[in-house]
Amino acid sequence: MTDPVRPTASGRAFSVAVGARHGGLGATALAVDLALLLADRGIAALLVDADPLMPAAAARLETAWGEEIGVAALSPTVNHELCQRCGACSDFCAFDALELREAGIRFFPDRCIGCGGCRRICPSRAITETQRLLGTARRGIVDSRLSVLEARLAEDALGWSAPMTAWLRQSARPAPFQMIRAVPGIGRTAREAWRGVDRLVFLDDAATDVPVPGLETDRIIRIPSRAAPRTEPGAGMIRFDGSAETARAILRSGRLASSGGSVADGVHRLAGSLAELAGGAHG
Amino acid sequence: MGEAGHGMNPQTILVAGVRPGTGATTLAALLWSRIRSRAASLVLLRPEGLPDAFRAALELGTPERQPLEGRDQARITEACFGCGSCALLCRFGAIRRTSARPGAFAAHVTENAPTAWTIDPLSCTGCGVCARFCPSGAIVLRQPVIGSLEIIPGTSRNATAVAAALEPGREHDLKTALRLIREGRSLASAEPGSPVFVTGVSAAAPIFPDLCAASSRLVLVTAPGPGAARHLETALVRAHGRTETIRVAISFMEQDPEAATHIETVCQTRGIDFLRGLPYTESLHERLRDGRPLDALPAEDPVRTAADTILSFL
Repeated sequence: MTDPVRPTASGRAFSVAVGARHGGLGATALAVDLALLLADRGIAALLVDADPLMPAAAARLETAWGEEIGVAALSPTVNHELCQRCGACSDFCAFDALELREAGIRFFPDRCIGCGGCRRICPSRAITETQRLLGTARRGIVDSRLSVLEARLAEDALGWSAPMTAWLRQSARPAPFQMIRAVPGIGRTAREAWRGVDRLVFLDDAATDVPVPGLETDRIIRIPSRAAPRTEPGAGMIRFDGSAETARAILRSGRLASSGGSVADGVHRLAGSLAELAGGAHG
Repeated sequence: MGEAGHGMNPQTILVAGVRPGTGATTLAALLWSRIRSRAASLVLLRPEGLPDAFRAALELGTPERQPLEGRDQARITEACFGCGSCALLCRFGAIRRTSARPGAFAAHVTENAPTAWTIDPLSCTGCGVCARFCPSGAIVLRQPVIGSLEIIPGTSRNATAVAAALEPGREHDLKTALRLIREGRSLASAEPGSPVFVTGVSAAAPIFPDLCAASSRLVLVTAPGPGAARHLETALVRAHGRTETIRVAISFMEQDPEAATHIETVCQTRGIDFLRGLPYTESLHERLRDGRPLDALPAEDPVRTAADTILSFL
């Protein structure tokens, strides 16, 4: 936390993502806590739940939801009158989303990732790409200082979590401060959530030299998890004591700040540092 | 174990959390460690492989490693003349310019850099569009090594764990997951009646429905807390009709009896067997963290009793 504040262009939100090496380290709880604490400090915050497969942040808050909107992406449609059943598209598709059958080409939307190759490759121009509904997104208001944005993928579009997360990140502009809840891990969807953020708060139980790809290390605030309370990396701001009482308090409330003790202290201190950084970026 | 678990087709039990962090991996490890003197295998689908402490707690030996190949991936060869049409075609932003001079022909950039374009291996989906439409045929598809497959024999009994340590940024797709499960099945088939426990992914993973289809049984693990019932409903929708039996276990249920009752109601309305789950005990978590054998848990430890009860239902 000693590194200098990166200048941010005026009007751009100061953004912080919360990620974790794997599930169960408390990333969702921490994201919710930090969003609330920054809102308490008078910084209008937007909590973006960047997990479109299983949004879990808003369940910990009382949220008044706005209307759901559909999110769509290009997806192939086969014109069976033009189709010569040559199988070029099904041969090409690396994801087996198109299959040549006696009755013609059959499309499996749950396997399609929308590369557009089938349309380009079809010699009879029988494939067009049209917008297909991937899922829905909604915005909610917790109070005058905090709002929430989340999306949920349709069951036949689960493979679209990384593009949906990118969509969420791009749609979340108007707020001075953004708190992004990333999916656990360092895979594609997680990295999509923290692309371009000012800071990534990363809950880690691995050795601190295991890299987190996709972000410069000076933007990562590493926090040792409750799974490794005995490690003492310099950047550790939250001490997880691993006790049953702390675990119980966190389980019941879904929040870290209400657990009392060293965990809550650490969350408050981290919120203070982030508030300073965000204030510096705007001032 | 059920009648499906014999011969060449060992029973495959997927133990998955309704979302990450419910304790499903811990439960699976515990169930596997409680199965006595059989060739049971534990397939762990976490991309970072098996942590050392976890390995010690499960009394596992030294891993035997072999390279693990991922899906197809595009690679630009020296035949590239730098037109950049691949970057326009790629919908995943995987092809980026590495030259400081936009539009420069590759050969003109520097002598040491054969191309002005590179493919980010972590963003490439392997769809093959760039390779198919490259005007100079300069892009090839290869299956790169993305990590190592680890087969880890038990030290105190005839049971094996299968895991994969993937390169940072890689995650299990269906291909690598099924490869690990195949390995686990072949190990378990050495002794009739030995099951395969598959764990390390939750119902929030895109490959979850396909993993259900590859398993004969599913144990969904949930934990009381905000949104638990809704996550369980979502997980049940994703698993519906894909596996023979579904059972639900609750971790840490004594921490919030009211939430546990709510989860039980969800199970009842859907006709799904509900198992009491693992209590939260510091002893279990300390053992996993410090690498002390799970097997040495005292006989009266509530976690051990709970695991044996769950096993009797499987």
